[in-house]
Amino acid sequence: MGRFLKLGENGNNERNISLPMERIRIYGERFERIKSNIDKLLQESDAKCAILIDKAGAPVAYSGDLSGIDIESFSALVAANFAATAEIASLVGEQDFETLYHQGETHNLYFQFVTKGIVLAVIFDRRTSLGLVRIKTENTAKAISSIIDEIFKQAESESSNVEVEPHREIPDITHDIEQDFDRLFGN
Amino acid sequence: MALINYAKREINLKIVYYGPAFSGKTTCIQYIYDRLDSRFKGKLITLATEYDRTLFFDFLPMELGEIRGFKVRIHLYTVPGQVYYNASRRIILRGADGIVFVADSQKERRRDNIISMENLKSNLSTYGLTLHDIPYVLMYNKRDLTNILSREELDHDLNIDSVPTFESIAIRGIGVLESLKSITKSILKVYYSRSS
Ligand SMILES: Nc1nc2c(ncn2[C@@H]2O[C@H](COP(=O)(O)OP(=O)(O)OP(=O)(O)O)[C@@H](O)[C@H]2O)c(=O)[nH]1
Ligand SMILES: [Mg+2]
Repeated sequence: MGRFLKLGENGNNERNISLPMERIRIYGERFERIKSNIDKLLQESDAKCAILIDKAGAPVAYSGDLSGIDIESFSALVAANFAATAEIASLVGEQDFETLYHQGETHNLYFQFVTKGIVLAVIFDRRTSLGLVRIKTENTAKAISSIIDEIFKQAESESSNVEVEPHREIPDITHDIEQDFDRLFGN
Repeated sequence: MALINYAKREINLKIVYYGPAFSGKTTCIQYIYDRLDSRFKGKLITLATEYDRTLFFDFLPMELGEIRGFKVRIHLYTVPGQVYYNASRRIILRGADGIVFVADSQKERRRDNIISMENLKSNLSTYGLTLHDIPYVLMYNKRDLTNILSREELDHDLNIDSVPTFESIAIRGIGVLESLKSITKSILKVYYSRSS
């Protein structure tokens, strides 16, 4: 992080917020490429399912048999757990924390760092082995990592263009949000 | 860091409830969970000690609906307020799009509020951010108690940026949805101004 877009004034009681550049914008073609890499991983490793999770704990893309898995809770916990374990590792002087493995009774979990705080989580069972999952996951992480790097590079060049543009009109979405809240909280 | 997926037409936002220990952060998220229509809420996850103090975080996913063709998902988190859980706070703050700072209005907690705000700034700085880079609102909680600071005193201590403030009683849900709505608006305004 550390480079920001300046936005214009947006009215009363609101400050001039500069937007952290490191938001991920994923467009169709790159999303499909990420997804097909995950599909390939599942085919080649015989893993049950895999989820790509961003550093804020949101699922980016997933594939496989996800029945019975609460994807959002899973992603939030994996991101926090991975970050916490990385901190623990650094406390004992391990800087390059890349993978995390949990062996369960029927399901095993394998987490692999991708890039920029993004983690690839793979769930597998007895049909396959840790060795195979490890190798295939590492390859997949490399492939996805280069797609993510493309996304960030594009964001960077876009933002340097955007900065010279005049500030655009900010659409009034206040009304939409009011309605949504009314619907959500039933009043 | 909002995740904007044009392929799936989805936006994911992360809102973090921050503030000193015992100020009412978990109470807020619990109230939101209770009030949410079951069609739009996910599971509430609380990682707490046996005495209900947040140990790592609380997490509640909710679906705001469609705004201008994008499905908006909001993930609410609370951090543990107790001073020695700072590593956990830093981890949960990662990738946040907006912050609800829950202050405790009680006079004897004045210093704790200020320390927590300083701690927030210092944790943001580890990600290269300042409070000017991220939308935030303030909740002045526990207004039902008697020995409390005035709004002016709290503004003086905490509201240097003149952000929206809410006097709240989280145990009764007063001011909880209002502040959530306000931070959501602030975040979305920033993003929609960039993507329209
Ligand atoms: N009187 C009063 N009590 C409140 C209010 N909001 C929360 N509380 C109480 O304050 C205590 C702490 O609330 P929590 O929501 O657990 O506080 P927290 O900020 O999550 O605390 P940590 O997880 O330790 O950081 C609980 O006993 C709540 O019932 C309020 O508005 N008024
Ligand atoms: Mg709590």
